[in-house]
Amino acid sequence: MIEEELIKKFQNYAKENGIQLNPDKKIVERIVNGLLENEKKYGKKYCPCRRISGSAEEDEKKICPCFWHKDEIKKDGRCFCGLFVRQE
Amino acid sequence: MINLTDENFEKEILGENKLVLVDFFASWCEPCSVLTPILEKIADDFKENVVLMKANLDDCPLSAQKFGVEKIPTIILFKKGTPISGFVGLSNQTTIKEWLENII
Repeated sequence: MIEEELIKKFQNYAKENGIQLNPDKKIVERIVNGLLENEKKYGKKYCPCRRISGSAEEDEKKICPCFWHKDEIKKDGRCFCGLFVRQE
Repeated sequence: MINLTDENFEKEILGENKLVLVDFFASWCEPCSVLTPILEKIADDFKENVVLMKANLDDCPLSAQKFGVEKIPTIILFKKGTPISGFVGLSNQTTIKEWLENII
């Protein structure tokens, strides 16, 4: 999957879930490139802000959008990595 | 700037008499890229007491696991090889300076 396709996919996901992508396009592109890099290295789009343990079960939660992103957005207004933010 | 690996981690941390500020990061981590210049500036301001070392998770997976790094950026302050404080995630220059001043 190329960068633009993944950004579009995340835009749709955000819309469906009442959140939005970070309005800073450079941040979004950097994180998406990190996800694609992790996919090359580890086979899955793991969050570039989390350590990959090597345990498939443990790391499953770190695939973007990660297990924690909704709680983080509720609490901090953005997910830890900054890809998704609260709806303006 | 010393770049840490699993091979040199203990040697570098133990061999330093000043406090060692270790920045666990990854190349594509957005908050890491924001925090790095802040840490570099602070390390320069505190250079008499503190040394900044960089730990790319790709180069130090075992050390990161050993010190409980789950999210990055994670900053750990070491004194003679022992972690004494730290924080996870983005922070601003003022907060980090106050944190260090309270320790030094």
